[in-house]
Amino acid sequence: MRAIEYSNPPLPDGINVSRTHPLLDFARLVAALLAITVIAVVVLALVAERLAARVPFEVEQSLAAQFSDQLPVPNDISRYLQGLADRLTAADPLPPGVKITVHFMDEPTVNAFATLGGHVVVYRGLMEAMPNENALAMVLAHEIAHVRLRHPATSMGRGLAVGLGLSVISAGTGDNLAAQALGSAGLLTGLSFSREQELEADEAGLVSLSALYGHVQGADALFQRMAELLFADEYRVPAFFSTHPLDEERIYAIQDLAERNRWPSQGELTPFPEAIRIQLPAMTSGEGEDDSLSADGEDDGVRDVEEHGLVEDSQAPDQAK
Amino acid sequence: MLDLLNIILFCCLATVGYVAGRFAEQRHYRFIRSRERELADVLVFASRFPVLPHADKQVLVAGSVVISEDYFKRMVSGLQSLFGGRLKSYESLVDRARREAVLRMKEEARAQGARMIFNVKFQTFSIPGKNRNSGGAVEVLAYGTGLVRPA
Repeated sequence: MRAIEYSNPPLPDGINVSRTHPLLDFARLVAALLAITVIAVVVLALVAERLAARVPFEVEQSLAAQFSDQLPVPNDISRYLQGLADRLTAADPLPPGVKITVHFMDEPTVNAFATLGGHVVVYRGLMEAMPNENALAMVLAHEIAHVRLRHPATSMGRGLAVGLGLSVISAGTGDNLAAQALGSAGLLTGLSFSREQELEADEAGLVSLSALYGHVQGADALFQRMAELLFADEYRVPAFFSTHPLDEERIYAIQDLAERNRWPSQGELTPFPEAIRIQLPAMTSGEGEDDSLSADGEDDGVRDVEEHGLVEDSQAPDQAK
Repeated sequence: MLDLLNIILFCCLATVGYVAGRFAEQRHYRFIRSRERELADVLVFASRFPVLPHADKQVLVAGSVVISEDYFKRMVSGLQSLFGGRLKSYESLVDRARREAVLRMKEEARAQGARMIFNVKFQTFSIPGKNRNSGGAVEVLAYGTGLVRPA
């Protein structure tokens, strides 16, 4: 029987399969991908930030038109804010084509922000916290400076780059990336500025403020008021500080700039018009300007008013529930 | 919110794919090994020319199997294909398919009374073909000439 010559010796098992544990394999791949993505996103973000600032302002405006329905309708207060902004931009002109539109948001949040297309939004809570027009003008000048320096476009460029990088990981969502990134939800409030950008906006804002009033007392008044708010209740820090970090560096930078430019830090403060004070009963009383004028002395009466203002402020969200 | 749901769904699929896929694979390997021992007496050869008496009857024997990837393997292979290199997650898939196809061919040979299979060849076919969106599966077909000794 010649079939005896044939045989199939048993082969060692598993020679055709790698012995690496699948999870280890997966972890290695994910780590490598993450490293590459992080590097790519950082590079992309840096490039996008630089390029976005060169995008024509009209493009920004057409992007902003997508969320125009989310913006509140103009009223007396927003018209007053617009007037104040117009005076600021008249004193310190914007580059050609750049236009500021100010909106008033009737919410207790103590904040203001600038977004794409030259839209600046001021919340009722912030206006109520302002001691006088000069302080409000400093806030507006700061937000206008963001627009002037193209910070919203820069921030959007960075956001797009990060979104693009993230979509590499979840490749499935890559197709509607543009729709998601430009989606109306995140665009209105989703832009955040870096600390450097905030300092730049402070500087440019101070220039505008001194151009309008001839002094920068408003900035002092603003930061003094904000510091009071910050220390009055450390458990209820206004939203303003989450987007506008208030620290010594920022205040020193402002003082330093004022000194270098020889802007008078003392000057006459403008109170809010009566028509606006009537519309915002919770506003810090008209005595506010006296309070800010006296740099070191605060009488108890003013304190009470301020605390009263704070209490009302904190009650507002509860009532809304 | 939708993004979060997508991420949760993705993690669920990957976990299910990993657990179920690994369980199925280990069970299949145990099954393969036991049948390989059992069918060891049916001999297979790549050679085309058996040195045997011509009196043996010749029959075509074939065995084919389709094995699908799981979600986890698919994900890992997707990642791996970004970098290149060995697609380790698919090696076991093809290995199982090849061995299973041989076992089915041997079972068919034994059913026909053949104890030896010569000229064994393999063919593979990717079930989704060029459609990358459908789930990946591989078919392996093993076939050869079974020699049946006249009774």
